[in-house]
Amino acid sequence: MASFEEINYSVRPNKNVERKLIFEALQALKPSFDIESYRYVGLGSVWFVDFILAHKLLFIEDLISIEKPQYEKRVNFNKPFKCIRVEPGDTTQVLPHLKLREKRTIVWLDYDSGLEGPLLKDLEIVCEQVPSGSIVLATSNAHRSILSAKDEEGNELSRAAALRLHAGDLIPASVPTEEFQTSRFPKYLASLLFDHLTRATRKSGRKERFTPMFNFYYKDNAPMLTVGGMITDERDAAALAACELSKKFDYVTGEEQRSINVPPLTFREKMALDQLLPSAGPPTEVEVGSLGFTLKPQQVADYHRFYRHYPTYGEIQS
Amino acid sequence: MRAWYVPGASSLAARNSRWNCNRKVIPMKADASPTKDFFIYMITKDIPLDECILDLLDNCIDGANNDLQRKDDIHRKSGQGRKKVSPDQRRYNGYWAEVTIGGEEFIVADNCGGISLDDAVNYAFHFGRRYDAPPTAGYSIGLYGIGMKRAMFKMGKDIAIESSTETDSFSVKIDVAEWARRDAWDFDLEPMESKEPYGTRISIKGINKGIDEELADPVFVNQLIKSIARGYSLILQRGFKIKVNGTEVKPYIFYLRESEEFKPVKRTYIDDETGVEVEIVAGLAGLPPNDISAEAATTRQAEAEYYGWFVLCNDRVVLAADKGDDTVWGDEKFPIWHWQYTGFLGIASFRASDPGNLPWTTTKRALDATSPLYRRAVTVMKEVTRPYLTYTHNRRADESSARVMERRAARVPFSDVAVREQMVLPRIGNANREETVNITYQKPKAEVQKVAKALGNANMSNKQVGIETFDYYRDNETED
Repeated sequence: MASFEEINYSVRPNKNVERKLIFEALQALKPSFDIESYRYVGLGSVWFVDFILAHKLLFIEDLISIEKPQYEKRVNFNKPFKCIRVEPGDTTQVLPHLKLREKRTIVWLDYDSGLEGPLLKDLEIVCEQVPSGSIVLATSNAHRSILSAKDEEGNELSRAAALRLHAGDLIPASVPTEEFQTSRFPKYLASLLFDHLTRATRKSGRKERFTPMFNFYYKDNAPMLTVGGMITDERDAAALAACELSKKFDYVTGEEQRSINVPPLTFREKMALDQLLPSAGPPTEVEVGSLGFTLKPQQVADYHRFYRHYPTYGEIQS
Repeated sequence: MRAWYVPGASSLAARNSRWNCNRKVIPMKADASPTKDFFIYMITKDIPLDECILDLLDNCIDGANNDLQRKDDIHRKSGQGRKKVSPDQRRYNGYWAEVTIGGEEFIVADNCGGISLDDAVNYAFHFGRRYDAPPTAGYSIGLYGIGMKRAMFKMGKDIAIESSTETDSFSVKIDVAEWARRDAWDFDLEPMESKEPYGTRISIKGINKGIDEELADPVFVNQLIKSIARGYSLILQRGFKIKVNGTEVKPYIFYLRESEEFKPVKRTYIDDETGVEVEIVAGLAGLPPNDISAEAATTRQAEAEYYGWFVLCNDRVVLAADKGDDTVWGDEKFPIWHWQYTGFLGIASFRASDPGNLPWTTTKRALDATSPLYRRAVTVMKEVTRPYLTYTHNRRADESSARVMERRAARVPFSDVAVREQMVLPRIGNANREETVNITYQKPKAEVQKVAKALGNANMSNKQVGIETFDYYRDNETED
């Protein structure tokens, strides 16, 4: 079963925030990069949430969604714009046929799976082919269940060996056990993905390099992470630096991981809090208290960080 | 001194004169003196970066060998009897080498006794081993007089070497660009205070383009650690310690399976012509694949680097997990490697007190395939491999009982294998066996994975999923 049959993508608040952050930052590339002429390649599912942002905010008119053949019909029915093309097949089979070399592209491989999925193989294909100036984004499951595995004979593998099963030599001979702690693992996994992106780009013999931009961690249901960056030659690296994204947006960190953990708020609470914003620091307990309700300081801080992107949902009579 | 020839003085010159009507005097000797560029830019192309680093480590290990020899000599001269220099179980205890890969600098340092000033002045920096160089300690692994310089030139432009022995010490700084410009070939040695531990430290800065990125790649470092673990397995097991960026490399232990039904072959002989000691061991190491589909092959890809033929020279792995005609596979009429042979391990080990007699090339990571010593060994390697290949065919008649026996066989370290003329393998598929049939069918990958997970192991082979679901149905739904 596809995950869209289990959850409505658009109502995962942290994921929703992440999407807005990424597209906000990509919008800010516009003076130096002709984003409108880019192609967007993603896994739109039936919701196409990222595709809508790519078209509405970035004005992209060449969009490709890769989807399993058995859902092709339903997905085609749901695509919000004519300029979206659905390519049926597995990502690993479809990506090589997309002529990725011919055009600057924003590729967002937004998987539900983790290292056990096609992630590493697919990123290699993308990094080998997309032209300089392209954006490569990958979302991976960051659950630690991947660390317990048996070999073919049924013997329990060490956690490093279990990872090596999927990630090969990305995993050193010995991994410090701290890396496997719940709090550390998403960071470790992201660092592996950056290593892979850097290596895949370099090993293809091209002159461009991978320049990291994003590293998000969030948990709506499963723990997930998204890493991303730009494939840059010298000119584009300079142009990207000139955009000063990390100055404008504190979440464009390069390789440092940012958690998105917005609190569940009622519409009323959100509206009330917003009246205290913007503010340099998060509103104090007293300030929030004066609104007539209480929240943990951490929740207030988390909201403060992303209040501009916080989603509100309502029921539509249809 | 160059010889000059006057054209016209011989028939050869007469021919020459037709091209040189003006009868100019031309030299009749071709200048074959080497250029520095050849050493800096050409021979450095012959060797990949990881092997360069192994070359530097070879020097450390040879340093330890020389140091042991020297200590033995002193011991013997002092009349306390002769201490044997041989591959003792823990002979390298206390010796270490450390590789540090930083952003700007590459360092390899050891405590292996250092290079004496005399050796440094006369031999160590000579391009190519000098004919009059004193013999190295027995069973050494350095021999061509090129490894260290080639490695340094390949990696960077700014090299500093320090070496301390008990009696003297020196340092050398090489600015490669400056050295390339001047005519003289020598390097200036500077005396310095002896430092303990006695050993050598090579630092390389101004890392060359391309090399810097490779060194910064964690996958490169992980792979380097793996090849050290495998390549120096025996040396590390005898007590030598190698650290890479602070992590001690644990030796990879080569195991062969041994039981009533399985016993590895081990033949040893002294090669008549060269006097080289040859040891050939082969047998079952891992579990042969029951599922020989291409897909199954990719899931067990990682293991493949430990199967096939390994060739060792003086305990150093020269060729690892070979599956091609550098050893037996596809050599003349011998079968080419097939995924079905996964689980086979063969080790051909050559030992000689004079490493010049061993069948390796200057990179020491490849074999001189034309060496008669090696060709003779290959015939033995083929002979001992054949029964195993037959076994992998025969076992398919009854894979499940083969698997039971294979699992039952205990893993024995390669160094503990006893001499045995022939490999012992079980007979598979006797007449009393129940008649079996094959069932093949296709199911969506995702569904099979789901069932595998439900059966308790997501990494179970497809074939096993088929067997277990069949057994489940038989046990639950059929009656005797």
